[in-house]
Amino acid sequence: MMNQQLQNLSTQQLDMDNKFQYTDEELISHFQNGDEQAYIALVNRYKDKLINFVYRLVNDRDQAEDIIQDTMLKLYTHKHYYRNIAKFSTWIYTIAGNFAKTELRKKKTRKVTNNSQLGYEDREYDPPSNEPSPQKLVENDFINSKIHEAIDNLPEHFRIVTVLRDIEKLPYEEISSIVEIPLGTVKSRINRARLQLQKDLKELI
Amino acid sequence: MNRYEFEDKISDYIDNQLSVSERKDFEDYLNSDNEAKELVESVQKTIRLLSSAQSVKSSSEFLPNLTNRINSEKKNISKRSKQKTSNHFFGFTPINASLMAVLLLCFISLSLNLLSSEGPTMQSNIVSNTSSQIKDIAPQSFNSNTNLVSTISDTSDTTSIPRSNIKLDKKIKLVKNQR
Repeated sequence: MMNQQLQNLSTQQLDMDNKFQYTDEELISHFQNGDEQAYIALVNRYKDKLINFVYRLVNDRDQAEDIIQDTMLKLYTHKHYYRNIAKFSTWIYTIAGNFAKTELRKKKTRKVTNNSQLGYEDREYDPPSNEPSPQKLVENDFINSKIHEAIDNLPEHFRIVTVLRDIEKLPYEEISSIVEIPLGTVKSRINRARLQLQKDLKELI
Repeated sequence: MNRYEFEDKISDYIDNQLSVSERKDFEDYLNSDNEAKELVESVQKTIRLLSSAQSVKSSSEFLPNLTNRINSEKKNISKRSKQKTSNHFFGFTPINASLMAVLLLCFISLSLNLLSSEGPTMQSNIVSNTSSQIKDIAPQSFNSNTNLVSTISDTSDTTSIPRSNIKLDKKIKLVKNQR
């Protein structure tokens, strides 16, 4: 049954998103009451956002995907752990962020070669979907690699808040809840990270 | 406002987090310092650049892999619940069941022991009672010395004459003779 549901994800997502316009909190509530379509809608709503967020932290696309699989599995198995006192997005970003942090700690202990130490040629990026010309593609790749490198050079505690703010576009208050630090600290970290990024990306501006 | 205060408030200014008075102070500083103005513009461009960064999307394998993992998780859960139920004996976990069995065996053996120990004592009581009844009836008919000695030596027998009385009688006789 679950297989069939997931095989028809795209159409079901449209159903859940367009027909009913459920909020995240309504969807998780439906899922907690046994509606697996609500789970599918939540997975579709968040998988790309979360992969993008985690990818900026762990710097490895496959690993980011694995982490989001773990996150979504946890959502499935621990659905009753969510209490309707916080936003669903805060809860799911916190789970993904914690998995990412654990992975980063493991990486540090393993002392695996960091992607930042690799040359531009070593990096893999998804080809952009709308490229007018090969020249533009190369240009985009270059800009993306520089942005990625600049983010990767940030200290971990600066990186997570900057990604949440400037890439995921989350409000300060939600970031404060996700990373569990005071609002003032979040603002100060974002400010300092932006100043460092401005220095590192000066050549692109 | 000095340079440090200015730099601390750049993000708050860009994100509209300043109060009206703070915003006015900040803008006054910007208008008085071209370098500060350029820095703010540069930070704004950096933010726009970050926003324009190509986003990473999930692969086509993401959902099938997730489905497989969910199915295997479901199987594991059902396996675990089956194991739980199959391991139970009359609703007890193996440890509790073994403890209960040991306790039950102890109880049975104890009760058997009690019954078996009570049986012979009861029989011996019956035998001793009957023999004493016979003795009560029979002493008059017993004439042999041996029986008399045995009755004297038996202190528990209240019907027989105590030894101390005999001695006393002898002593009284001796005192009388001396007088």
